[in-house]
Amino acid sequence: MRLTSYVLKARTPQSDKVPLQEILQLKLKNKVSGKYDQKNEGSCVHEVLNLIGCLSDNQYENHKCSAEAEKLDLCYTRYRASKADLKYAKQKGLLMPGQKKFTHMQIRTLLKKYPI
Amino acid sequence: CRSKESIRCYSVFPKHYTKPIFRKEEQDELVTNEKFQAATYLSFKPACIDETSSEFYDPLVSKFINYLIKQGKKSSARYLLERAFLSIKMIQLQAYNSCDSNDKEKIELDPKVILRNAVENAKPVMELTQIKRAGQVYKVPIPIDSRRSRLLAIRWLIQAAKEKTRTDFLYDRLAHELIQAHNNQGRTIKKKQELYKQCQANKSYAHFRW
Repeated sequence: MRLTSYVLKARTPQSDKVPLQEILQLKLKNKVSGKYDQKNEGSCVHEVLNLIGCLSDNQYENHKCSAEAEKLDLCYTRYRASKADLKYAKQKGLLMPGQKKFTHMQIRTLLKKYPI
Repeated sequence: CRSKESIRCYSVFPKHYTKPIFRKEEQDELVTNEKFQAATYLSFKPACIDETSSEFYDPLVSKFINYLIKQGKKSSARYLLERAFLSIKMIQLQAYNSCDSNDKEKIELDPKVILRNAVENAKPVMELTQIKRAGQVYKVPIPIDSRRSRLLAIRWLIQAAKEKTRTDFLYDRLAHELIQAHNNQGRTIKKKQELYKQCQANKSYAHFRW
């Protein structure tokens, strides 16, 4: 029969004893990647929505919403300053005393100093 | 300029050269400041040709002239704004002389004050930007810094003047636009309010910025 010939051709199941080949070293590298380092801290969404609400209440006259605009400005300048600080720290991998959360570059500098 | 070894800096002055302090008041203030000792060791660039310690110097006016320039012709841009100031003065004086004595205090006669108020009224407090999320482009309301808002205000004022009917001279149109913006009316203010309306329509996307 044709069918049996196909059955006979099929691959036999793998035996249990497969020797492990160590192609790469089974060891962690002294590196971490920084893909998910981004933080959402200090966002000014609340201030933006406040200002939009105030503008729509006052017929889009922004001189009536100077308090809200000032708050948003303050928040945005603070956000940009913190962002710049973080970027500088990231690039340099500076270690700050008393810090609990680290960026990936900071962990890299730590691992460079004390390799596993 | 990029400070790589292979690329030479374009500017004559290296990066560490700082901007000059050319106003007498600022110099006097610096002498009393603690930073004076450090500033004595700094290298300064020379002042630009329009940066003078003259009484007639106004940073906003010189900025406005710079935005008016076409094909590098600064002298004609300066002439344009000076003629616009003349037109403003004439319009306001006419209004001043024709109105009642009670209303005369309300009419502003100084063209520089009118320009300053016009730019201040035209400044937007927020802006829209385009952000791409999941293959779709959204218009997102974002905060704006003071320099960019001044840029947009001046740009809109000039654009509004240029859009008007071409029967008048540009300086007359600019004068009318500046007076209208000074009174919180006109095309520029309308443009700003339309931007706010769009911000209101797209406020649900505000979190895309962060």
